[in-house]
Amino acid sequence: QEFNPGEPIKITSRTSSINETNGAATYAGDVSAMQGSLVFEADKLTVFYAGGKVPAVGDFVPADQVTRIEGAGGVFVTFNDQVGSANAVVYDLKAKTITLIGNARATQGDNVTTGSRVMFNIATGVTPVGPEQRGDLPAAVQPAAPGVLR
Amino acid sequence: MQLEQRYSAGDQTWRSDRGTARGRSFRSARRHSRWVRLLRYALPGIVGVVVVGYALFSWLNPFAALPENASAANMVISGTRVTMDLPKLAGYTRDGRHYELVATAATQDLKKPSLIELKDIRAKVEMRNGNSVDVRAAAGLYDTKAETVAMQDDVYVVSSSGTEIRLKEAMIDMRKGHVLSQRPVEVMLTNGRINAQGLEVSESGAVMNFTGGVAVEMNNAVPLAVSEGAR
Repeated sequence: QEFNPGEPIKITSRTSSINETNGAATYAGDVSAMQGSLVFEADKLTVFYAGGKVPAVGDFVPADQVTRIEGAGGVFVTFNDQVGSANAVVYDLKAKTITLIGNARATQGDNVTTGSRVMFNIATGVTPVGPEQRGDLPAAVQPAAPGVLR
Repeated sequence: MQLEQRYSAGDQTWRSDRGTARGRSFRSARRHSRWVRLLRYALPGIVGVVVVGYALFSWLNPFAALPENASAANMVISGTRVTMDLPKLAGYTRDGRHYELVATAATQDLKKPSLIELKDIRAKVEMRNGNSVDVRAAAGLYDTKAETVAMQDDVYVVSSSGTEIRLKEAMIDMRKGHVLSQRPVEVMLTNGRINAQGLEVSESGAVMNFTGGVAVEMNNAVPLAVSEGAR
């Protein structure tokens, strides 16, 4: 179904740190972020804002948008029936793309794409774009992670 | 090893399963039952807590310049304890921002003159950007030697920008521009919310660390062109 990057984003983690000097908010420790039916899980997530500046404490800055989210460490991404896993992920909200980096693997039904980088484009529906290798693995070889598939 | 952790932030609890092969379960129930949020911007109000520290410091520290008007309804002395009723004070912080502070009582025990107990603190502090911040706390202990203010029992900070912060406690170290709270914190932003079990503000507000389980929600709605003017 149509994905709207303007939807509220929700994150939980063990800790979070907002640093005005580097203009980012980081979340660490079993991080999970959700936007609509898009779900990210990672050990660490960093959120960047438009203008690259987290508004300073005390100075009210009109709410800037989140422009980019980077995840690292045991990354899992799910969007409807698409599942991706990698060492790291970059979600570019402006370009509406999700790039899985480092033994990336994207699965949709029986269709598995692997490579050092696999990119999803949310705007046109999440379909793997520009994978290094692409192959339809026989069912037997498919990831057996319980519950990962629908 | 199947690692299951249970964290609670505020009233909600969520569960995260780590599969042995770094896989993670995606139970939609977990997703539905889980309430997660994203921060949009930092705590404009928290600096109010720091600045109020400055105000207290410059008012009560004999070595600091006295604000232009400090008054109290009356002074009651009982034994070694001196209590000022309705202390009121206005002045300027070191970087030239106006503040006003009232309390229902300020008590100093002459045996421990560096400690001042404050009751029902209400302070209003101007911010650099013209906003103002109101800080309320049921009680506070101001240590003039250590230059710290320990605010307890429901510290409430609200900024004219609409940000509200609720803390159970706030330990302000004025020298270091550092605020620490090891009890639940809730930050209500105009377009989002943060819940955490603890908060540490350092570098006088530039860095904020939320600890003990964090849940953040932000309405990241793309502003419509028409609302551009409304920002």
